[in-house]
Amino acid sequence: MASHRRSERGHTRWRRFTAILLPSLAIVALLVVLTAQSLLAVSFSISGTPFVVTAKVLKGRGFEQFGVLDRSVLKVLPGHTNQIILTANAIRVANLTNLCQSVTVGGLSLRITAGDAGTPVHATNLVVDADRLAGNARFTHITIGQDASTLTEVPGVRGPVGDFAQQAATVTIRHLRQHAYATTAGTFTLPDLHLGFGGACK
Amino acid sequence: MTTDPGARDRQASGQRAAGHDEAEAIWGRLAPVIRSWRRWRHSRPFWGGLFVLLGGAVILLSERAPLPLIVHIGIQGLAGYLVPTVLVLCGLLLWFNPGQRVFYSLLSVLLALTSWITSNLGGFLVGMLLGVLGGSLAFAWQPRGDTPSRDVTQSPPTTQPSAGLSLIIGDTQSETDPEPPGTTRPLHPPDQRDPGETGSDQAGPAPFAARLLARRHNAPLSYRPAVFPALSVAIAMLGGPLGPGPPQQQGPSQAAGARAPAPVARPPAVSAAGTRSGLTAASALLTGLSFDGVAAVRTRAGTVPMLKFSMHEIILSGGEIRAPATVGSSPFIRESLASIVGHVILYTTRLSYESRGRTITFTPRRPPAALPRNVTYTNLITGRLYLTSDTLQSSWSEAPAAL
Repeated sequence: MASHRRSERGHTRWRRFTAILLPSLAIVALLVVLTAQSLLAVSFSISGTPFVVTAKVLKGRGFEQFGVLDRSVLKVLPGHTNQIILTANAIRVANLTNLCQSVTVGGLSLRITAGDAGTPVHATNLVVDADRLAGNARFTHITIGQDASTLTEVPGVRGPVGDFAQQAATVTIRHLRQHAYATTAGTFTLPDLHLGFGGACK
Repeated sequence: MTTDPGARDRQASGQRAAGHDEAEAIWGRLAPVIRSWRRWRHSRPFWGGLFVLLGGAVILLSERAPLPLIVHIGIQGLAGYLVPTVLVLCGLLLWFNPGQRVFYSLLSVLLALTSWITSNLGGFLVGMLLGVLGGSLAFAWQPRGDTPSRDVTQSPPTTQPSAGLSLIIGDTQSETDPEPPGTTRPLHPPDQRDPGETGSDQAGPAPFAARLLARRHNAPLSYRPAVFPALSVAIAMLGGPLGPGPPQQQGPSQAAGARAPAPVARPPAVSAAGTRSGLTAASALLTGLSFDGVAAVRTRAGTVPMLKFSMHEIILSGGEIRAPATVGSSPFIRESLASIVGHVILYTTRLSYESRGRTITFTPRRPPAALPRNVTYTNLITGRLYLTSDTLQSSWSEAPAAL
């Protein structure tokens, strides 16, 4: 009986395993290197857990801002209000120097830095839902008080009908610090990418 | 005391025996379960499937962007969800359809690698490595011995050409009907997925993809679910200024019968927000100020008469703009302002300031007669506003953007 059962057991052929694993890990390394040299654009969408984004300078073309009520997935405690008021900040094309993003995934604190060595981080269709913003901002050709559903600066991103919104042709933010709940970017190039565990952005 | 130990020992051993019998009974019941679990586990690439499943789950957990937003970002955002979802599916299929493991394991490795680009750097590297590891393990797994064992007869025979192989070879017959009915259908590669396919009754991925695709095709224009128009109408009827001020003075509803004749100014090209809002400043230096007249400003809930001012620049101290976060919500968004320079045009339902202890208020019903070109207003308060300018400087403090 015992020998019969053993004969049913599958087994792993370890040479076959290494034959597929090693090339895959080589491709992993290649992807990381290509991304760090900003030859490869990656895509981001994070939400649910708050995280911090800092950047020395953000220069953007096409800026929109309006308020959103976000229903957080995590805060479903009884008696706890489940809604957070956030501002949605959308930028059509953004270049960021000294970008730092720290996020906690499953108890593991992770810090990503990029754009420290001359070449800025490049992002398209960047949307950040933040509840706290700090920095010095300069806008050109700004409109304040426009209906959020008539925004045009970032194609495809519009707010609810009737809501208070502003948009600008360009934006420059120095010493940006955002406490955000969701970020999405169509594409991200991350030159000089560093992935590190532990530690938060300054 | 001295005569008792024997009896106590007997009693204790009796208890032990009873406990032993109980344990044996539990074991007798559990043993077949454990045996069949082991048989199930050993007859398929269990660990490979588990790691692939975990990898997909980690990537999915790392991105929980609101779905409407994903839909707006388009195919890139969609891929961010699709890749880990198919990865999870591959893990499950490695368990429940191990006959096709070569295809699923290679697909898992490829999807895990793709997730670096599409999905938060492959769930911040963790999910990607789990997927690659699991895919490799599953690829290397095979049943011991050449003779098919009892369990293999339950799962599809391993000699059957895999879906992936048939795709490569071009064996369309085995691709369309690769296995006996009743077993799980193999996964089509993602590039074969089209909206037409989503109408099928296939359980699992298809309804999810159908939902995503359906939302993508008739994607709504607004970023958030539509707001009730009635609410904005109500807000518009409440209308009115923000902040302190004599309540009897004005309101858009009264403005239809404006008494004081004021020049008619041109309204802005786009429609203004339907919510209340206001600009306040401890002091504001207005340069090159002129009053252009009353304009009928278009909003969602109809036109609202507003005063139109134009000026070269406004330098503010303690200046901020407040507006409700969304239509009908009480919390406010605040933005602090430093300077507004170049071709400044301000539409507002009300403008008030303090002068020698008195509050002076202008409304479309009581428009200003003459204004100084350059003036510093203290405690400037405006009603609902629409403002454009060439440049604007604002400094956000660490204070919350939303109150």
